[in-house]
Amino acid sequence: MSPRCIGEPISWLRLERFHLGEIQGAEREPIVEHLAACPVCAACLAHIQDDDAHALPPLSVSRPARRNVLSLFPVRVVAALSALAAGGALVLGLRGNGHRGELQHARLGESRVKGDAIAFSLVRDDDERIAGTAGVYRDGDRFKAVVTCPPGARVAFDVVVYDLGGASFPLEPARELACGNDVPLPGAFRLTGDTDETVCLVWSEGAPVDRGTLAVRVVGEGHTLCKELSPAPKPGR
Amino acid sequence: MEAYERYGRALIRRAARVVGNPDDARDLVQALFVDLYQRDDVPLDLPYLYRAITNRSLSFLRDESNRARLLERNVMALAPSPRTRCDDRVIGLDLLAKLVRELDDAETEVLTYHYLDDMTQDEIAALLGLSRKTIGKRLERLRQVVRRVVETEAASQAGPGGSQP
Repeated sequence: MSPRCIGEPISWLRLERFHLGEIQGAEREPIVEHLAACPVCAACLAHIQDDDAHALPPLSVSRPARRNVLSLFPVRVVAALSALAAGGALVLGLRGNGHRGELQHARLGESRVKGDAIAFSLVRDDDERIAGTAGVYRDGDRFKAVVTCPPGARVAFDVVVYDLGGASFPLEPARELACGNDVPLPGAFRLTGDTDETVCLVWSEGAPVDRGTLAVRVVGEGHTLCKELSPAPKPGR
Repeated sequence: MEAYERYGRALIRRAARVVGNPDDARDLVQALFVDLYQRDDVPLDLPYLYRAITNRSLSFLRDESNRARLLERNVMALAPSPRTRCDDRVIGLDLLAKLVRELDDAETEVLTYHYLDDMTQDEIAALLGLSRKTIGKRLERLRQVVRRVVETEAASQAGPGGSQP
C-alpha cells in the first residue's frame, strides 16, 4: 500500500522550488512545518536531494549552422523555402541520442513527392479554408487537414502541431493515402488556447513518417508544409 | 545555459515521472533546451519550464510507438512511491498511457498536475492561468473518465461473464 501524506501533499513543483530556495517568506513556513511532521513528503524531498548528487548530462547546443539559419526565418518563410527545395529527404534535425543528446541528421523517410506537388489546407467546421501559410484560429476551432497530391502516388502523411509546449500529433497517421484532389486526412483536431501554433503536414513515401524525429522542431526539405496560426483577436480588444 | 544548470535536474525528474524512463526524460529535456537556446522571448523560470516539459512529455507519451516502448521499459523504481490522497487514485504510467488516449491536451495536463504532481486546484489554476472553478470542473470530468477507464479495464480482465454473479 502506498504511503499516506498526513494532510495535503506538497506538490513536486513546490518541493523542487523549495529545494532550490525559490520559496521564501510566508509561503516557506508552512512547508517547513509540513516536512517536519510528514515523513512521506520529507522522503520526497530527500529523493530530490539525493538525485541532485548525480551529474547533469552536458547540454549539447553547439549551433548547427544550417538549422539555425532556417530557424531564424518565420515559419511561413521556411515553409515556402521547403516547398521550393529540390533536395532529397535528408533533413537536418535535432534529436537526443540516448542520454547524450547529440545533434544528428534525421531521416524522415524517402520521398520523391516534393513540396510543389503537394497542397495542404486546413478546413474549419464552418468550411472556412486556410490555404496559405498563415491564418488565425479561435480557441476550440476544429479543423480537418485536406491534402492534394499526385493521383496514383501512395504517400504516408502526418500532421504535427508545434507550440510553446512542444510537438503534438493530433491525428492518427495516414499511412498510405490514395492521392488526389482535396483528400481529407482521417480525423479532425481542435486548436485551443491563445498562443501561436504551427501546423505542419509531413509526408513520406515507402515508410511511415517518423514521429520521434518530429518531436523536436524539424524543418524538412521538400516534404514539409507548415502553416502559422495566430489566435484571433478577442472581441472588445 | 544557466537555466539548464539550475533547473535541468528538476526537469529531468519531472519528465521521468511522466514517461517512466530516465533516458527518454534526459532526451526530452535536452530537446527542450535546444529549442529554448534559439529563442530569447521565453521566461526561464521553473514554473514555465515545468509546464513546457510536461507538455513535451505528454506529447511523447501520446505517440503510440513511444507508449508501447515506455510501458515495456518502465522503470518502476525511478521515483519514490506516490503519496496517495484519500479520495483519489494513484495514476501510474500504465493508466496514464490509457488516459492520454481518452482525454484532450488540456485535460491531460490537469490530470498530470493533480494526480502525478499532487498539486492543489489553486496551484494548477495559478500555473495555467485559469480559474479554480475551471480546474474543478476539469477534475470532475477527469474523475469520471478515470473511473470509466478503470472499470473497463477491470471488466476486460475479468473476461466474458467474469463480473456476473
